[in-house]
Amino acid sequence: MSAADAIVIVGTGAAGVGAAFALRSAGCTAPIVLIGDEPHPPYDRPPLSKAVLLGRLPPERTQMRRQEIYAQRGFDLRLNRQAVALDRTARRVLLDDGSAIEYAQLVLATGARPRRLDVPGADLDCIHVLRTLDDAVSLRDALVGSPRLLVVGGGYLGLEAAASARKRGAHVTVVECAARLLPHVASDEMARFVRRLHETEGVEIRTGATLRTLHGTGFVQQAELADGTRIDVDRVLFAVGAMPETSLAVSSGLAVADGIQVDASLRTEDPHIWAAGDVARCGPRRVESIANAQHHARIVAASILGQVPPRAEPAWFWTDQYEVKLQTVGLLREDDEKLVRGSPLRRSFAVLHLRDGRVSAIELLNRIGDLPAARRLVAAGATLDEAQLAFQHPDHERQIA
Amino acid sequence: MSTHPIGHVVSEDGTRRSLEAEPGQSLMTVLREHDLPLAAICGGCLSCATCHVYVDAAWVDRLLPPESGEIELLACDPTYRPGASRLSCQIQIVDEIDGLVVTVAPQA
Repeated sequence: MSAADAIVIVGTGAAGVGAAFALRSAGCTAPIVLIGDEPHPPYDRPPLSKAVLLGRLPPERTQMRRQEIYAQRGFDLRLNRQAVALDRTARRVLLDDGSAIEYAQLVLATGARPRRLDVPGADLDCIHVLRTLDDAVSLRDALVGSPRLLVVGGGYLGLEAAASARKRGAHVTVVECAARLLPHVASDEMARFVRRLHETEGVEIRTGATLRTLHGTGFVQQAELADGTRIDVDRVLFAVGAMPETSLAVSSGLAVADGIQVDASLRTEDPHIWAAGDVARCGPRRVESIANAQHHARIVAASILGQVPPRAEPAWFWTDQYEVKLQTVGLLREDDEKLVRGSPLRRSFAVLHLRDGRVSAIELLNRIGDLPAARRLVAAGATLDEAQLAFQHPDHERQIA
Repeated sequence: MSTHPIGHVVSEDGTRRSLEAEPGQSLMTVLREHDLPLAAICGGCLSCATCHVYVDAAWVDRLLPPESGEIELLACDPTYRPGASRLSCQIQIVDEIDGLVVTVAPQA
């Protein structure tokens, strides 16, 4: 089999590595080349903001597979290599060491890169982002000695990092420019609960607060908000979202609009090029989540092999903060009708989201046992009656939001 | 830290494999590192049920019992077997479980 039969996968996150394993599991015998721009063998990202920051999980324990497994599966794993250009006519990927790899099929699973706010002082030292294993180790090591940490961004990542840093003894302030925490990704009810949780743990939360300037000499020392408030800081974490890593697609003329545009089979307009995971825009909006990346891995493998792709699954997100587990099934919309079941006070409740009388999403707080039911109800677009039945748990006392 | 065998994993085709593990790892990470067919979607935070294993009858009572939540998650899986089913992410590798025998449950 010649090199031109190869399936080349750019990106060694959950989507890229998942696709490689899914291809082999489905019987694909073609050469598979995996290109990753980090020095580390492929690793899991979910623990980075939790167990790794907490110091409970050594970085090497995040690896997905023992390194010899890649060779055993016939994967040509190229680490510390960046794909810098595509030649779509010759079907070649050009790497930063000057080499080129021919492909029969190319999967772009390049993920996303963390945004940094473009404010004065953003280039000072002691300012962090959190996306890679190296980022996590750098922030973990910076949390020694109870520093004052400013987290910019009150989304999942910022709040997970805030919780971990607080547990490590840091003095933590979170600033979020929206009027509440977790904008777009949690209901008001859940966001209120999460805010109280963090405040109870001693984190200062400032919503409706915009970072204007970072001050310092060499390293960051003070943050100034738009209202003039100044906060003394030792460290800053930007957790303000991520941008899809689309440069290969853009420079080779593929359609990009907040992500590489793909059809339901995850194929781009080029029949030999596919996109999967955080970088792929399939449908009306791009989804950044590990569950989505893993699902994409299975879809793209099936599509490349001409097999029936797995069924669509509802979007699924989770976060662990302190001793609390929040699960969200389905995508939320501001105008959803909402019903709360259970007790926020007792830290155990569900928020049912209804759209046109059908269950469109469910948030679960410390109710992991309800997760299978929630996934079933959202996947089926169940009626309120069906949902009520499933959530008639003895301690699910009625409470209308 | 020395690696030591955790005993045997029975694969789908009934063959047995002996795996090495280090104390402090979860069984899920051991199984996945060795490329056993395990989705382990959530990475071990007790948020899914995709690292499901059956524990050999001789071993069930020698493991720490499951926390609440684990069995609730498992019980909804069509392949759940009361008594035998566990989430491998919730089983920690300690010297006392040297020789443990588990079977990876079929993926739903």
